[in-house]
Amino acid sequence: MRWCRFETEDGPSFGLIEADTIVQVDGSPFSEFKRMRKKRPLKEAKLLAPVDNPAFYVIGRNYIGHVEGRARAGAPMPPAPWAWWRSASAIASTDSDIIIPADCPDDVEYECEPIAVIGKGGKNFTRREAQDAIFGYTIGNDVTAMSWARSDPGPWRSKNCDTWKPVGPWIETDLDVEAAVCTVLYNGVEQVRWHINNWIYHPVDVLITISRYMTLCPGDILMLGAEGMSPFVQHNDVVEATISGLGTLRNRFVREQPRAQTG
Amino acid sequence: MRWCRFEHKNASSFGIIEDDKIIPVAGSPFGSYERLKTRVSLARAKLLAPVDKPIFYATSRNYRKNLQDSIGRSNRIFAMAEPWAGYRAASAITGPDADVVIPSDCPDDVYFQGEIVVVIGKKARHLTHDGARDAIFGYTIGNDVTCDTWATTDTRSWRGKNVDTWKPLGPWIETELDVDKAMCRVRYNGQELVGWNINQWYFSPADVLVAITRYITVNPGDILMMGTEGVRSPYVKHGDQVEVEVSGLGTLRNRFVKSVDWY
Repeated sequence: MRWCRFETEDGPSFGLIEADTIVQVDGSPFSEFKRMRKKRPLKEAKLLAPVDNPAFYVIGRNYIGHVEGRARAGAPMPPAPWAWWRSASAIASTDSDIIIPADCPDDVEYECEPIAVIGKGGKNFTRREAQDAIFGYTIGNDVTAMSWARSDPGPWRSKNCDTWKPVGPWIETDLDVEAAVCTVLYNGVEQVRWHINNWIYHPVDVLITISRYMTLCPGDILMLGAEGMSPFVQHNDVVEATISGLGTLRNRFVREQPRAQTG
Repeated sequence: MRWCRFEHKNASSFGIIEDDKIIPVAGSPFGSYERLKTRVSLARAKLLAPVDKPIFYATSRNYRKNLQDSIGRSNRIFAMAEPWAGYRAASAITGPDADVVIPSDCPDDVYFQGEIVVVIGKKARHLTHDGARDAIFGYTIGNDVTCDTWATTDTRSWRGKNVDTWKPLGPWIETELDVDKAMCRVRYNGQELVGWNINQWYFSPADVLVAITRYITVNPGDILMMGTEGVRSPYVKHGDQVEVEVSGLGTLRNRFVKSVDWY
């Protein structure tokens, strides 16, 4: 099944994508839902991120090319599955602009990643429970400002500026994970392509580790790491991440103009 | 006004505290609400954390003795020239009088930090100092429980501060706190460890909110921990009790329990 979230006259709604039509749904795939009679063409819908205020976990450095790239810059390889957070306030949708604040240094990178979406919550998962907990997959982009990441005590503006976490375009519940390939285009030119299951830590291993200490809830998401390295983006650059079966997450970078200071 | 959240008819509800009674409301202080006709005894109510799934900001190194103590313990800690914020997980929030549960595999060096917590009342971006003061809804009390080993040796801070139940909040939100008169006192098994005037911060709530909203939109119900004072607390043992009292905000009381899960 393909789940999305989109704008309606009455606010955001979840929907099921069937062929090129969205069937509006009352409720959510993470609790109860009912199909409604309302339909609209997928092409005409304003898609939002397909999740609503999730706990937003991430495992960094989970694909070997990216690990090697970061290692050359001095970052060590973490020894065991571990997890980190991003702020739900930074989530944006496909086709939205990623806004770089005026005072951000010129070293913003993209990191296009597969995302596992959790459908069953719990604590202290066994392996089978962690497998059953995965509802489906979508695509994300972990935009990062590198000098802020080094200078700040922890990730806030370096990873969580408004609009810096695009997620979407939809969640696919029946992804063939063994066959799925992620391709990243930067201004139309392919940068990297990899099998998403070439991870160092499988999402099931990461969920088992997270659930050891934190209760997971339906609708929570886990970003699974990026492959390759990104250049520093410029105003008007476009990045597109496509994963077979998950569509394309497409966003443009926009550099904000300095604001006049008042007060 | 005093706002709380409590268990009511098998669900949670916001309520207004007047003398020794809670007036349940339909809705929330962060949106629209309507007082209901029933009254609940405050003494008999099961209070929950007074916020619901907030974005949870936290600053630290914000009071003199605590900063000096932290610098003395680690060469990774330094004074901040500018206000900043990190995050805590909403999944770690627990309420007044709830147990703080230490996982069975956690090293024996868990400590606590009593803190004042700002509750935000407006959706805002690019706040000025005056605007930031207006954006504050009220204050409550928090405890930033931390495992020293995990916080310092994990590649990034995740379980070190965000294990389930490690962020007690409450007992209520006071909208009319006089921050220039309010004192915070922390007691450990009945003995006072430290007391301080909460306004002795390096960076005020307005300073931190101006910094956060330079990059990130805050929303009603979001919260900001302001840091703790004093040298580090002792490492806790099973059965220890910690009380954080702030004049006008009540006392946040929690007991530490070491889990005996077999794995």
